[in-house]
Amino acid sequence: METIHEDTILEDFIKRIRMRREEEAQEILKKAEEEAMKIIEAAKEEARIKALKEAERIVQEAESKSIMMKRIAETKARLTYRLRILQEKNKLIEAVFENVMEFLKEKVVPSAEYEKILEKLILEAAVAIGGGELKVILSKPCQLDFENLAKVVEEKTGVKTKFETILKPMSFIGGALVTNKDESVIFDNTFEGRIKRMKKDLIREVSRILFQDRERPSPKGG
Amino acid sequence: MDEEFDIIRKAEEEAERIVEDAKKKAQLVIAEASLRADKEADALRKSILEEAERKAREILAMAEKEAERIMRGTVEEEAEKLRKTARAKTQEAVSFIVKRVLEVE
Repeated sequence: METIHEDTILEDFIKRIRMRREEEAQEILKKAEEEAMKIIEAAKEEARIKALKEAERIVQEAESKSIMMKRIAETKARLTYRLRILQEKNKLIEAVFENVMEFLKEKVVPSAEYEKILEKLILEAAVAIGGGELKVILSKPCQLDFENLAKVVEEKTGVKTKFETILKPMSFIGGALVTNKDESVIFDNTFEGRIKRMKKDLIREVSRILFQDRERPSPKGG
Repeated sequence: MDEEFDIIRKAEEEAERIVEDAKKKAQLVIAEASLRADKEADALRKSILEEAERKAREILAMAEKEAERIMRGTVEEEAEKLRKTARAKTQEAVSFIVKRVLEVE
């Protein structure tokens, strides 16, 4: 009877030892799991903070790039716009000059007034050269009285003047090219030559007429 | 009596082993947690950055569209208006030039 009782006490004692240690083990594991959760959460939080900063930088960079892209596009668009409008204006102005050449060829040169105009052009050139032995290059035959014309030049310059006419058909539309004898001095009073000399001013005026503005397109070929 | 002590000692040793096992297991749990933490942090970082990059792509795509819209502009309409105005004034301009070309002082 005594032995049975002692056995029970011993079993109880052993059981308690085991239970206490098991509880201790459970507690260790519980703490380890809690610690593990903390480690994971801390790592995630740290990663989240770092990633959010990086994300912010990425978005900010994209936003800056987008602003830059829009600015570049606006600048490009403005330049393209101005260039395109300028090209269009130049084209329209050139078309006017083409119309002018056509008008001179079709309406002025065949007209009855042409010889009077031609006379004035030759006179202007001859006086500018200073008279003397002059060559007059024409694009088509004319009925001008060159002897009389020479007298007018002599009156204006005081230099005895004589004209030699040379015909060069198709070389220009109208007007005349006047040179001295050795062709060292040339006065280009052809229609083309006159237009070329006046082109800058003409472009400005034509631009004002066509577009009612002061913006001056860059002259093309003159 | 000796036998009883022996039983108690063995029981204590066994109980001690349980605690030691628990400690080893705890170390393993923490070590695994460190690895898991790295993986989870990496996944989180990846997902946040992917979202940011998606947003950035969206912003840039919108900017590109806007830039295209700006570039298209209304230049052709303006050019047409210019041609229309100029056509109406061409004759005046031609007459002006002809007059100047034929004008000799």
